[in-house]
Amino acid sequence: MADVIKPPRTVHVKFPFGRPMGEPNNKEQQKVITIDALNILSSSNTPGQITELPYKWRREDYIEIAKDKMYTL
Amino acid sequence: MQEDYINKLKTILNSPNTAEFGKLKYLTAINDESILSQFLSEIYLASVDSRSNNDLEILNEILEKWENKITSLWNGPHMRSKVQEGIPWTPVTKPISQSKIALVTTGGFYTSQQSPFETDGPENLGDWSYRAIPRNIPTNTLNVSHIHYDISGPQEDINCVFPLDILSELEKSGFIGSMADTNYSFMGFIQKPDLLSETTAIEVAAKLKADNVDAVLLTST
Repeated sequence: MADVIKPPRTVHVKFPFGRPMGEPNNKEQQKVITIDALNILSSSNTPGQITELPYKWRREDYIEIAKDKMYTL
Repeated sequence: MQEDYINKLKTILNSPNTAEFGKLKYLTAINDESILSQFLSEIYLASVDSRSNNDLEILNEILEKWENKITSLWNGPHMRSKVQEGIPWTPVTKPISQSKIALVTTGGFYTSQQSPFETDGPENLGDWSYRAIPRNIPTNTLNVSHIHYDISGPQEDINCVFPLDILSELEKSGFIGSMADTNYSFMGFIQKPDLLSETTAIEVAAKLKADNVDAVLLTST
């Protein structure tokens, strides 16, 4: 859809429809996705850029991911 | 004959309208017998392969491959939008830690004081109105009206679509400068997207600008 509509910056996750920010009540996951998106907002210099996040649905440890990325949860 | 076969395949592929089938359900919109047969064949082979290797990842990868393929084949309302010349672009001129961020979503949320969205709308065109959601509203009091995605996730926790509490926490931690006082929800079933882009989207953009919002995080379902 982003290829057609061409928003200025797009972050894509391969999550089910209806759960773009993560699983219900998985605050760590939701926060990591939100911080990733805001970081891409500030770092992206290419209009129309589509950034694919690497996370697999229900197969990640977001506390570890946040530690690696030095995000404060 | 071929139509019968395609209809039989679609009956086999009929699925519950839950999040797990959210993308795969569009298989039933494909009228190409070779694609449907190929999907069934690959899933069958991957299931056996996955079991013999005791590796669920094999099946997961095939399912994800097909989710991408199906959504790229989907001829949805976005294909009927007018596409603007060029890509709208405003450079970010200050750090996120000094920026006012707003949330906009297509998830179909409204407060108890507001009316629900018309999920199909007149002439099945959908509903391109919006609801202003104040930042201090307890998120467990928000309602959702949308019938074109599995809403059980945001009904349990709205942050999985509309991360209001998450953004508020990021403001407290100083990751963002501030959260907008008003955030906005649309409902994403709009069969003629130009009705949105030429009316209510412009209204919301003006309100965000008047509120001195620096950037918007837009979530879709």
